[in-house]
Amino acid sequence: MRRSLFLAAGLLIGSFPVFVVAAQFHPHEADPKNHLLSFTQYAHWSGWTADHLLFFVYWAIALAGVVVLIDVLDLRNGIAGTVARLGIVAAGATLVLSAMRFLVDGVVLKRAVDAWASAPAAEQAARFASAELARWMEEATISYQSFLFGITLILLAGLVLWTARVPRTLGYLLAAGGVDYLVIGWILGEVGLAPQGAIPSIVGELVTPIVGLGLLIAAWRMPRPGSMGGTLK
Amino acid sequence: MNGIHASPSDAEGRSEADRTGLIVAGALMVAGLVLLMVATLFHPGGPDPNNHAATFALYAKSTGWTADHLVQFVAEAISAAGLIVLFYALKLPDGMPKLAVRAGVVSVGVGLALVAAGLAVDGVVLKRAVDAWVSAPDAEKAARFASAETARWLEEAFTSYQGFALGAALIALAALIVWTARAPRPIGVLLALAGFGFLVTGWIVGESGFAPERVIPTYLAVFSPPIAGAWLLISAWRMPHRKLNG
Repeated sequence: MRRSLFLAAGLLIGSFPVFVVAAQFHPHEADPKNHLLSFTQYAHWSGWTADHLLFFVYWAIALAGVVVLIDVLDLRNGIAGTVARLGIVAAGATLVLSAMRFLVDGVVLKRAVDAWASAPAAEQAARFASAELARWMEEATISYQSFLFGITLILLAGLVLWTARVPRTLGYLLAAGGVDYLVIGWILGEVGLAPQGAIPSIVGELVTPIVGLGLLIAAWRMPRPGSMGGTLK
Repeated sequence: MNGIHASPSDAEGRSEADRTGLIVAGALMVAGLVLLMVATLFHPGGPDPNNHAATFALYAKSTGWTADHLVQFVAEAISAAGLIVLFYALKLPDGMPKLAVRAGVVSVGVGLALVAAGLAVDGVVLKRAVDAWVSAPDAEKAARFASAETARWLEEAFTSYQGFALGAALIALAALIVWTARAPRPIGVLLALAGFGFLVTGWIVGESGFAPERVIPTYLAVFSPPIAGAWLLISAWRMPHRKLNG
């Protein structure tokens, strides 16, 4: 269990630097709700595909960490085993929505804004409508990706709190993170990439690495295989 | 552990289905439909959904769109959870049956992701697109209508493939129940009908959109699983210590 906990912790913490690097190369000066300004900025941006691929890798690593953590809890039977399986399915569905999010943002939106920026005047309105559709698609996939990830974290939190196989504090953190992602999903669905989503998004980005750090400490304190020791409670 | 009985064995040493799991699965399948009915009450209806101009005008006037589609998603997620719980509650042995369980669960997971994608398009993209069409100046109307139609076609595409994924999962589950009789066989027949309904709906929606021909197969797909769930719930509840293959 100790080695697997290290792996889960490493994945949850390791995803964060990938996110930070990807965010560094993403334009964020223009208000994302101001489509005219943000599309103009995106149309002049290079390295778009690689940047969004990196964002997808961040999500894939974080979700792998979540799945490894569910597996580490070693729940095969009963209600807990069922919840663990549902958590893994929810994590898989989140990964699919993450892929959709970045294929829209990383490919469709860029091509749509490029086509708009280079279109003759007679075509500008149609191209702009097309780019806005891509933007709404991006917001929609982030919204439902967040709902699914929120559900995944809440299921995992329930397992951690129920079994106490890792410190319960991490369960509370995961539950708070899950609710936070549900809030993000709601805001994105209702009003799009609006300023009210900024704080929940920052909280969401910090939850997984903080849980990873907690797991790392818990694993570190565990007795090594073969030695005598206590529990993680 | 944790409140669920280890599944007992019969005289020949065969493992039985997990009674608590069957009850939970049945309850989830029924609850999913109840919640779906609530969401449907708040969804605008009336014009032929393939008449885009009339439908989009109605959608543009609708309020509470995000919440309504989120409730639909929760309902579908609860139903999908019911199917997953039922797959595992059958307690099938290793080998081909277990492989079929895994394939079925993956298919439900894919179906759930497609449901989320479809409702993301329907619940967010389509509403913004029809709102933009209604409020666009005349010179932009055609472009905005084309844009809203693209969103509608995306919704139809996701609905179509979610039907194929969930249909395959339901038919796998039905076959396992009919084959092993770890739950009453009529439940397997009901789930097979639902799977067939999903497959046919997927085909019709992919071929001709939200056309009237899809109505009967859609009713089969939507209503058979909760009826099977209620049956499962009652049989599992009434037979606490016996096998459920009566």
